[in-house]
Amino acid sequence: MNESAITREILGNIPAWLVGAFYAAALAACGWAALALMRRSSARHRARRPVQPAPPLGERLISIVRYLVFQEPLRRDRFAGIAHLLIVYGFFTLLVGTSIVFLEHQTPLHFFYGQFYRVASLVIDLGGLAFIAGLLMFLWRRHFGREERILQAWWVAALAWMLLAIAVSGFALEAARIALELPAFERWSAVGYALASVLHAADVSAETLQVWHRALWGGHALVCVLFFALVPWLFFGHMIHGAASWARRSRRPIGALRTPASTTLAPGAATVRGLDWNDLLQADACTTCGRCNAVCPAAAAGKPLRPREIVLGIREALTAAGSAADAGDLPGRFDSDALWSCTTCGACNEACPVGIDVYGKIVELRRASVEAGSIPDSAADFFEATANAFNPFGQHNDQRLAWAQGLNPPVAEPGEPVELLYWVGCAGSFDPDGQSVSRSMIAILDRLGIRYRILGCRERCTGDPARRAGEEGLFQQCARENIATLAGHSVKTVLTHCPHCFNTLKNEYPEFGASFAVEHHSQFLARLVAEGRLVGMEGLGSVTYHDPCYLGRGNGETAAPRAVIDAMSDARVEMPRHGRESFCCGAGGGGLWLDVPGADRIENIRSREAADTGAKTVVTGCPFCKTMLEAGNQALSDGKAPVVKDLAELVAERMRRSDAASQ
Amino acid sequence: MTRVAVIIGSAAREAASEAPALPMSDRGALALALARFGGDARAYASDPDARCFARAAGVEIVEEISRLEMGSVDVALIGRGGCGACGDALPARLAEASGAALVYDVIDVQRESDRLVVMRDLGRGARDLLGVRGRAVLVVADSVARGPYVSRYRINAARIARCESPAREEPGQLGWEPVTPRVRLGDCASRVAGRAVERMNALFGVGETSGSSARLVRGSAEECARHLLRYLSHHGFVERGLGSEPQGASERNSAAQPAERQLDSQQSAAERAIAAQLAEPRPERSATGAASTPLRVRRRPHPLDHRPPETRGPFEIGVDI
Repeated sequence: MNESAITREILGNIPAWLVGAFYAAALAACGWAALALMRRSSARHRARRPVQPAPPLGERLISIVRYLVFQEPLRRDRFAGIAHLLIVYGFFTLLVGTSIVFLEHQTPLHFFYGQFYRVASLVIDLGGLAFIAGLLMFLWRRHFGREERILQAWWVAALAWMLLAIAVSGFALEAARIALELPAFERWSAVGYALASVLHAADVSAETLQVWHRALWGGHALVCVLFFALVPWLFFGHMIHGAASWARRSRRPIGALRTPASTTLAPGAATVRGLDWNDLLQADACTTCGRCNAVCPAAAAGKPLRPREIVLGIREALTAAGSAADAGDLPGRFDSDALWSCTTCGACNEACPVGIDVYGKIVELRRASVEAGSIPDSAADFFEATANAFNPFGQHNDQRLAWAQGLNPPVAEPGEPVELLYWVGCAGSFDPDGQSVSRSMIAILDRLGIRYRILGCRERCTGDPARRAGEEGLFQQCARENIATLAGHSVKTVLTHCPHCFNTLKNEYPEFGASFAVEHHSQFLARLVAEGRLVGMEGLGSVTYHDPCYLGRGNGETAAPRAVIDAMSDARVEMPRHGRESFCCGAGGGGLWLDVPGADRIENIRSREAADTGAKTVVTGCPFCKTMLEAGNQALSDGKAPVVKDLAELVAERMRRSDAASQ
Repeated sequence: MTRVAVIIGSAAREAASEAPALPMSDRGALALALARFGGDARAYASDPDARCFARAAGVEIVEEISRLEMGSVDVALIGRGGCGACGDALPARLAEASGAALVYDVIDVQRESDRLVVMRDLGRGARDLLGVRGRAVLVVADSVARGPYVSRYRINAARIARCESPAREEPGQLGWEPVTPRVRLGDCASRVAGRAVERMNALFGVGETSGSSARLVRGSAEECARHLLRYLSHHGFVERGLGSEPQGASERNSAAQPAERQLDSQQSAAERAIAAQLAEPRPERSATGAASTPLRVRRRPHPLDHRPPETRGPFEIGVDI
């Protein structure tokens, strides 16, 4: 057979008026969509806050390509990852196939015949199959699955069914076209040929097939035009904005909060214009997948926070504001208890497949609430305590050394250069659970003869709880005062056992002029283990480790604490949620003071998870986590609750035992 | 238009390691003034921190306390920090100087057509409602409902916007003339604790807490009688007007209205921007505006023995002008 005969008549059997109407409608839909996208972009650019610096263009482009090809962020949920991959690959295959047909038909180019035609037909059909398979997977989960995170909105299902209609009608009209003559080379259009064979076997007349073909083409074209028009809207928008949002996502650790980029604009998003346009781009990029809701500890405890609803609320606020000068009260759109339920654990950011900084937006809303003065009394209490007593516990700061009674740790003299500064932190100074960690750290440092200093009563809160609760001005005041104190000692390295202090000192203080290295005690102890300075600590029973959010997810440090535990125990078991996917204890973001009631308590959930491992000891690396897990243990039945210990406490205990044994 | 003055001040540090802070009663006085009297309120404070706080809280006219002219004030709301070193004597003197009704432990005030309805905290959840006509000096209790939080950014912005201009910083002529103390201040200067009645009695030199001879009124028989009449009239035992006012107080209290504070014309653009922001009305603290955390539930009043808080009144007090 002549190779040039192996092709098909494009738009054969379709009346010219119908083709003309299709092209006109498609052009109008695309134009309307483009206009809508431009308007949306223009609305986003009315944001008053300067945008945070984005990664370099090259890095962003590579990130987009990687995102589209590998879909890495989606793979954490295997089912959804596979379904989405099938849809994306299928969609792009169909898009390329349609473009080929368009070029062949509307340009002087002539290449759609022979072997190319065969291969293209096969690939396009496989793409269509993949597209349908992915959609069916999503639809099956939507209609028969039991995942709470699925957004139960009619329009989401309608859009998915619309896409399915496009794919199915495409195959149907292909079958009607092939069935007219059933040429052998069309076997390469595997799906269409198979369906056409059925029609042929059913002995459907040529006239009927022509009518069907025309009708199916018309229907297919109509749904496609509708799809073009809807691209900027609803969750279809993520096709345009998702990859861009992912490429522009912050490369800083999740734990690092943004500093408001304006000194004359009050902190926070009092209106939607108080956000920067990247925030608004992210809101438009939301796929409504609900992964943020699924991993949110506040949602799991039945508190009113649903992170996805915050993002969608911002998107709606932007739509409502449009080009109006008065964009309306943004925090007022949300239940204030929802805003104050967030523990800023960053699980939502970690889970988001398009890189939305969800909890950053919640903090922006909190900042606006703080500026408006509309905050819970408990928040005001610890703000005042931080401002006046320099610690959120409201204790007199001259009692900061009460924990060290009998230990006499070396306090840095004013102006004395300090190589290694042990930053005790407010919990380590005032909270009984934290004080025990501080005493253990001093015991370790003294036992190993490490030269260090502490600041004593000149140490003040880093401002972490205040910042995460939205009091940006108070945080900056704390930061400047602490940096001045540390600069007065030319501190080289700060060692701390508190992940919140660690995160703030390491990631946030440099923006205010800090220049010192910061080490968490788990990293410090792991280094001592690696250097062989911590030996003879074996024999600890079964242990599970709770990753503090601001160490594991917030700063990616999950290995060091496990290395220290492994030096003490060969029976470490993991909780189902661990590492970067760990579950919060409930104390972050001011949660130790802000207690919004829910059906359950976050710390109880985590304590149950720890107890279910059967481990005798649950180890953590954060004084706040220790307090919360111990509180959670109170809710467990007697005898089931594991002992809660900090890493430093365990190491100090093992060292004492080892010393006693050697004597 | 009711002319309202809010007198506030930072309290002394409780410990060497603490920063001076505005007591709850002073914050509450500001919040009450803004909520109930809005733009009619002016704030007066002796220390710049308190003035910046008042400006940040949304009071448009904030001045040094030496500019206070009680003659031009209908209602004075005073916080614990505002009493400063004078303690309870300051509101007593102000009330006396302006012939105003004096009420301690105020937790709320409402403006009605021709009077103020003042809620006084009696402790343990019990309250008095007092109808006050004429001028009033209201000493706000620490148990007053918390007002909107004033952020550090707003306070710093107010400081940058030079909420206290140099001209206002200079101590000027006293707007109100302190009368000769009827009781020596002694240690009552720093004592503002206790129930309102006890505090009032202490000021009059009577009551259980006035065992010290320092609280005794010493004077001629006429002088003592005059004080007794004031005391009795204050508590409604005799008609008002029987006790004569301190001589010359009303004449001395008539003074010019203080000039409205103007921002320095040399302010930079950034300062103007900040000042404009501060001038913007703050959102109302609605029922849904603040989170209903459990701590809110633990707020006062605390009813005891399952009895509902007792609210008495309103009792009519005050001076008809």
